[in-house]
Amino acid sequence: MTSRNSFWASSVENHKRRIWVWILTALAQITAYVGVLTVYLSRIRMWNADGVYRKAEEYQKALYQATQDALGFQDNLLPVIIGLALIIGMQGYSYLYDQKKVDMYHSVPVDKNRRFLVIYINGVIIYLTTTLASLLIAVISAAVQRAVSREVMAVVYLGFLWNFLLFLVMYHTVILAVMLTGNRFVTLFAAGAFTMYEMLAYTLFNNLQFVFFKTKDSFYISHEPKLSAVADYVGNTWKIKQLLSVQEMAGTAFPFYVKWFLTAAALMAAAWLCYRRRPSEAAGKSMAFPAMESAIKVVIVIPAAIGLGMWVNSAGYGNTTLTLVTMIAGGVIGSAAMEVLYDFDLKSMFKHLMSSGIGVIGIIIVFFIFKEDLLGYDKYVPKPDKVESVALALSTYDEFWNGEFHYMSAAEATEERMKILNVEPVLTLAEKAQHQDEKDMTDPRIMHVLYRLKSGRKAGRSFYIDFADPTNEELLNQIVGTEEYRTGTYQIITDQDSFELVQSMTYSNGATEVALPAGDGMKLREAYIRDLEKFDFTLARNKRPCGMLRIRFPNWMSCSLYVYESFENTITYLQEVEAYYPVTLNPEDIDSITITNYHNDLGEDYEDMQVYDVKEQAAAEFVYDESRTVSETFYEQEEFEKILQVIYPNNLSVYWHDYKEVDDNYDIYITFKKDTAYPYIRSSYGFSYKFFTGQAPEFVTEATQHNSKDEE
Amino acid sequence: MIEIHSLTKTFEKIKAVDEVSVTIRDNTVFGLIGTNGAGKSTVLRMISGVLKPDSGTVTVDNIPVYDNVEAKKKLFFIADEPYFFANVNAKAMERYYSGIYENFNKAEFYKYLESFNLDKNRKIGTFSKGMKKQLALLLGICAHTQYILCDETFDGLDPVMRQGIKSLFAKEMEERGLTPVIASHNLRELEDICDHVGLLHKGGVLLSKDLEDMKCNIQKVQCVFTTVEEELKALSGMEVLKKEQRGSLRTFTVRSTREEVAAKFAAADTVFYEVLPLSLEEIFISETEVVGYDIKKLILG
Repeated sequence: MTSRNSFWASSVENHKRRIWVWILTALAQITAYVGVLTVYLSRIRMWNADGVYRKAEEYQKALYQATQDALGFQDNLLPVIIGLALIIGMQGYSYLYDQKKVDMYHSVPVDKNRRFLVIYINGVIIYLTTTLASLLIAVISAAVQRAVSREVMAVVYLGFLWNFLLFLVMYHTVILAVMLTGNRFVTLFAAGAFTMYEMLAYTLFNNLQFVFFKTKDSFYISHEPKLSAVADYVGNTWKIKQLLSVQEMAGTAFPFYVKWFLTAAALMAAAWLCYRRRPSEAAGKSMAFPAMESAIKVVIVIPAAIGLGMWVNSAGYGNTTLTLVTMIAGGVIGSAAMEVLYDFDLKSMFKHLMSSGIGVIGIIIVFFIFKEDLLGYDKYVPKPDKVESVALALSTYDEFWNGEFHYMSAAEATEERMKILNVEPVLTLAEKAQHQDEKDMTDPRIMHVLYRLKSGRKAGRSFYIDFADPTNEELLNQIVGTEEYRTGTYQIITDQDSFELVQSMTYSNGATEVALPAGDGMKLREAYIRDLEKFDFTLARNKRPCGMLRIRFPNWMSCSLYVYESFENTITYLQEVEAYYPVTLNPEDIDSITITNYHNDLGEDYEDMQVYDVKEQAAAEFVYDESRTVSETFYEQEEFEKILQVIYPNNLSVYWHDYKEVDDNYDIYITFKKDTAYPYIRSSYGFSYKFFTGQAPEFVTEATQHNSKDEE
Repeated sequence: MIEIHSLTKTFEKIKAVDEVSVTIRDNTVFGLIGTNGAGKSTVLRMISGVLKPDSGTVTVDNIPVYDNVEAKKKLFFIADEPYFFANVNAKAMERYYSGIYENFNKAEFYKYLESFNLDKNRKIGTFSKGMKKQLALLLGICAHTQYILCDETFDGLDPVMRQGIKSLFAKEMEERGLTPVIASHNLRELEDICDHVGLLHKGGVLLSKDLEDMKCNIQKVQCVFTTVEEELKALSGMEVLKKEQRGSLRTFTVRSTREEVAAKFAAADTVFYEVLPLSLEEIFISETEVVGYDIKKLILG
């Protein structure tokens, strides 16, 4: 027989007082699952009615995908989960906020541990029961609509675990917040602080580094939250959702399951300890443990005041005095505000001046650590004997993917694939960058470097080097000309398997685009790799590509490979398949050339534009204004010959050349005759040309002068 | 028996209870008297196990009470503002408490509800303050614990209801040895119910005595002496706590037994004398004045 004072009886009693939580949670879960599923499936049916799906299999696949998206890794569930964790956690232990309730609950003969456990388990039961019931209704509804398969169910299960474990982390966070505080308002604040603190602290840390450190690297080493389940959830739900197989999803999600479970367990242990030590008299107060008030104040005020200062810094264009004054003022005001919050009394603002002073001193110390680079971040160049290898990226626009044809960033790919062992040239360039300012460079380029140290540590730095400095040429050749650099930079080298799955290949010389046999992927790869062995900085800097290969792979992956005239193996292959056309055009094939002069130099906004750095200056040079734009079409052979000598295909402009090499003021469109042997692209505006800077023929500049048409 | 030894509790640097030591014997009504802020509620909360003392001990039948279910089974605490669940009636509260207190007497509870004209189906939220206190008392009495701790519980009860509750206490004390501990800031409320009184002031115990002892040892005498010598003769060997004079009529408050006072005054040559009964208020005034406090300011307002 069940005792009247049994765990079960206590649980039932507790549920009686949580009926509104049951109702609210059930409504939220039904909306989140059944409601969203209904919307998703209706949308698919509507698209099907509109003829979007040409085959029955496509429609069926879309139905499965819709169910999977709605019930599996749904990326808009985060606010629902956080909201429910807050409501269930706070309501369950809300008696701790009220002295009257505490008097009653703590005086009756019920074991304190059991009360905690009953409330905790009931909270989990509320979430689980409503979630599973909603999922069951949703799955039945999807099954009726033939939108469920075994794979879909597996994803639903993985998604359920994903959301449940996040709920547990948030639920335990809220319980810990309740145990540390004495009223709802402060609990909300504490729960928010626990959830966001790490993310905000890292954002602030990165921001401080960006503002004060010249060589701040965020390309390889990004300071991201390590413990925050919310950051993990936000950053990975959409990624997992896009994975193609259940196995991949499970494999990617599993480490997070383990991590979140351990996080939840640690939070629970902390909440339990606080519950055991929480004094009953904390009810209604701000903080349950007054001894922690000063420490918490300092921990919150320092980043808050620094954040305020950095905000003023960004608004005040880097005025460091103003920044520091704002930080100190923020520290003083923040400390006073925290004291007022603790006591709900304005008169308390000057309490605990010692801890407020410690907070302000902390703010000043942090400011000067970054402002004066007291830890030597910018001065850091490792000794060669300490470095095992280096990875680096110059152009960050290269295209990479992994074995499953999923996109990889240049940082991920080069970190994984590039191991330059001859580190001296990189370190010499890093050392030189210490003494140079990018504003004094002719052609400044940013170099992202990852040092892999022998100690096992990794360090990343980004610094400018001058491509136009002749003393850098040999150093860059020793980097760019190495097999390690090529291996890390060219997907074509590391990825043999992909070339067996090539979907299409084209070759373009800027005026035409010719399809190559897709089955020749491996052949082309071998030829191009052999040619790449001749590639170094000198070649890249001094020669212009004569064409470009565009290769498309599954899952929308593609890569562009520039072909130089010295790439004889590639050109031989192209000639074999009759796809090679020289970059030089025949004037006799041309019907007309239309040149547009944007007259950016005439713009007032251009004159007024404040240029802060070299990159922005480059962007500032193209300022489109219709009122200043003048277009002129030329028809004479003589004019064609002069123009063709000084133009270059827009799509063959490469990173290695000076961005000022071509004149962004002009766009040149060529119309070819209809009966040429050369298979020109005749209608696409994707293929345009640019003048080399300063080489636009005089007759063009005259014809496209501003107001020249009015004068005619 | 509840034993409190050197109990101390501080809230934010303010000592609410300072080295309080009191013994509450079984089957007596213990009155805890003190002004607002004297520490009565804090002492009761520590006895009931709600608050953890900073130092000192509270034991109920030799069992430490804080965080101890066995000790709490012997206690029922009624706070000055008793808490009832939202939107429930008396039946729901009975179900809750009968699930917690093993000896809860449901039949008795519903009988008492009827006696006190409390509707078992009516939402407690619609009850008056006095009705809520009655309900809390009935729940406490029917929980059949050894001790019932009442914090200002009689405030707000009309005299009839108060009398009814007192009768219930008397009945329960007689039948099963109930020990009520009643805290109040109003001395007059406890006068006719307490067996033992503890007076708290500024967190400390000013005095703790059996009312009978106090009543037996302090007497008030009105008399008219024939001569001053006779007055000195009558009062010799007795501690005079207070003396008032209106014309030739003298009123003395003296520390002595009734018999001794009667004998001494009978032996003296008096025109008239009478040993009068003392109210609890008068006893307290006398006792606290001795230790340098003005009880009127402390309790009687």
